[in-house]
Amino acid sequence: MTAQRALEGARDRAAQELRESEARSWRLLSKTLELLFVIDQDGRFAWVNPATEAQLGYEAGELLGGSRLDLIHPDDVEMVEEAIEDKLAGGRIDVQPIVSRIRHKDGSWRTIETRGINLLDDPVVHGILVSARDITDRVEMERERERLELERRVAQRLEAVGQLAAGIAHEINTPIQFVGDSVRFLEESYADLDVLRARHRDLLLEHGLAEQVLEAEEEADLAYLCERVPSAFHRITDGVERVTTIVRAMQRFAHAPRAERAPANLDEALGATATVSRSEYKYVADLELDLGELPPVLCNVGDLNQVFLNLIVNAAHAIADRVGDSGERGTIVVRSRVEPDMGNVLVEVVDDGCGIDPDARERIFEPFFTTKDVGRGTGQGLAISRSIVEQHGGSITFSSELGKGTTFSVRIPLQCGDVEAEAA
Amino acid sequence: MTRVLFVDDEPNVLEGLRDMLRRDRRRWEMSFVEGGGGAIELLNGEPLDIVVCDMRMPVVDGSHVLEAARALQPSACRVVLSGQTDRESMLRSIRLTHRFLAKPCEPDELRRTIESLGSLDVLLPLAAARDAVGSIVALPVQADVRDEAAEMFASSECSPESVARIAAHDPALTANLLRLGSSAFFGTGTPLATVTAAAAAIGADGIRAPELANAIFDGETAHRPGYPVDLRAFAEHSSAVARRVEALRPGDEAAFAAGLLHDIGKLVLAESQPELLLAFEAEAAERGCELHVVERERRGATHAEIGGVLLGLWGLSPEIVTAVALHADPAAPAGSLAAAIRIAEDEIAAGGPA
Repeated sequence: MTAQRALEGARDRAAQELRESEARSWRLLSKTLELLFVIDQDGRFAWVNPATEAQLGYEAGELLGGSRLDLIHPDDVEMVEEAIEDKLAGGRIDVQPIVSRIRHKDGSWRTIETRGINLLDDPVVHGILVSARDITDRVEMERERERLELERRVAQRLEAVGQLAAGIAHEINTPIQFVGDSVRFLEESYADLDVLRARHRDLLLEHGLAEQVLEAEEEADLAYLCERVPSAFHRITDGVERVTTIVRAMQRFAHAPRAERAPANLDEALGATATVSRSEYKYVADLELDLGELPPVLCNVGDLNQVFLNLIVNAAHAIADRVGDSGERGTIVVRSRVEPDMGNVLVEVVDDGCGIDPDARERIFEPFFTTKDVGRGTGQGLAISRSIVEQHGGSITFSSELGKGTTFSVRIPLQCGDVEAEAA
Repeated sequence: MTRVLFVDDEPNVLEGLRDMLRRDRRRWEMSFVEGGGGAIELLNGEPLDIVVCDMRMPVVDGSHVLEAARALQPSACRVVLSGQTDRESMLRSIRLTHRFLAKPCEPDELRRTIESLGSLDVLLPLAAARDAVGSIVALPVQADVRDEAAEMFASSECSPESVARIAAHDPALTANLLRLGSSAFFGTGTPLATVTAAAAAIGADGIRAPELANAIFDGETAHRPGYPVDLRAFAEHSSAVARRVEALRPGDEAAFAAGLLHDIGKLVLAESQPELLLAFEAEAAERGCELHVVERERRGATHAEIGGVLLGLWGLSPEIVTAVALHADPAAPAGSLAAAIRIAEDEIAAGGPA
């Protein structure tokens, strides 16, 4: 009797303890901020804790009814599948957390860091227990920090390039001065000497030395010299003028202020940029300037120069990719217009190059994304360009047709609100 | 014959100039000196009309040469011909420099510059008066205008129009901005008649450069006690004349600037010959005649001519230079800008519309 009662008492206590333990476990599972869920071997949700429901915005029922990995970002599916495969092959636990994107009920992508534990053989669970946390904010902060760091590095590099350009310009200006002066002197002297020679010739002819004169002239190839020397002078003068133009454009380009915003003539900036980037496109394309007489635009013209330069260089590369070694040439059109209704200026860089692969279109503005070969692109150009344009309260968009070409459109507000100052 | 000295540390530049300018040998007497040291030696001896000097030279650089030229031969025009590309270092030499030319410089531009500087002799042949003009390094800007302008230049609101609005109250500031905007180095290389055009030509980055403010806001001397010109009253009179001349000559771009700058010669004299200016003014008051009458008798040159020559040295447009130089001259042709200044002054003196 006593023994039986003691046994019953023990059983009740055990049952009581079990209930308490179960309640505690459930309490902990439901109160933890950690996302906990079990997925079956097909990658479907088999069980989720309340934190998972709350943080992803779904009811448990919606999650459990879902199909295989349907909430995972398409780019991450393969990685998650590999992790499941690993468990099916007997892997016990994810040593390194897996970072993937999962769709919140509101449609946004949340970045979660997960580690799975293989409980497929566990008679009660029959699945992979996943513990996860939402690291979206941290990732975004990190990305923003990287972007700022990238901008800072690029700005530093551009400043160094600018200083270098100014120094080189100074070094070139001096020889150009004396080359130009000397050519002018030679040209004028040649003309004077030619007059003198003609007078000598007349005198010699008067003295009956025609035969000798003609012979000497023939020997010196005089007719050719008289015809060709003046054009040689023009050629040199033309070349010197071109060097001068390039150096001036380089100075203007490099000297543009970096730090502040001021009214600037963007048509002039486009012209200077087209001149300094000539070496990038001249073998594959002709560049047409179609400028719309823009009013002064309050902007950081040095930064916008970088944007225009990026777009022209990209256009040249796209054309080079299309024409290859065929000897064919493409056309880059740089166009500027005022959009009075929108209160914008619009700058378009149009190329008839290879176009942008549809798969790449979503990502071209991402930092470090590049479709170019190593050494040709850093994958920073368009990311920086977008950042610069957005700092001006503007936008940069594109339309592209594979094999036909691409148009990039940069819009800058005429009344450019100071985005940074407003944000501060 | 105009005597011109060319100074450069690069012999090739000098040889190139010598050859290129050979055909001008009958109208200009030219010397070519390598390096700043030799140039200063020459400045010690021979009289010169124009010094064309490189800036960056080893040992004795351009600013030393210009400083020596100002001390030894103040009447000589000081021209910088430099391949320097940054405005900041050029602005630092602005106090000593009358004209800036950028290398490479077109032969025609160089010739035009020498011709126009040489022709200033006609306006003011008097050596003593030329010295008074040539020794000027800066003109005083009113203290409050200086502060207001410095703040505006640095602000994001700064535009050619806002710069012009402030400069309209100050002759010295206006003269400096027109000078920079008209120069090939800082601006367009063609003489500009309005501050709006000049500020646009200098560009926002130039206007903002702290060196620009340092270079043109040199008002220290003007705030000494006993300075012979009351800057505020001077500026108010100048502005009143400017507005009147503008009204008298609709469509004449140079009207406002010429009116504002008409008496700039008084500032030149306040800086270089203050005692003389005070003495002549006192005598004019005593005799009840105009200042230029006394000046003509005693010095042989008026503040009007002196002001005109300074603006000519600085490369302002010939219309403004002539109008300022002749505005006190009874022989100024009727219907000219100079005559309009004269009329405006008379109207204002008679209490007419300001």
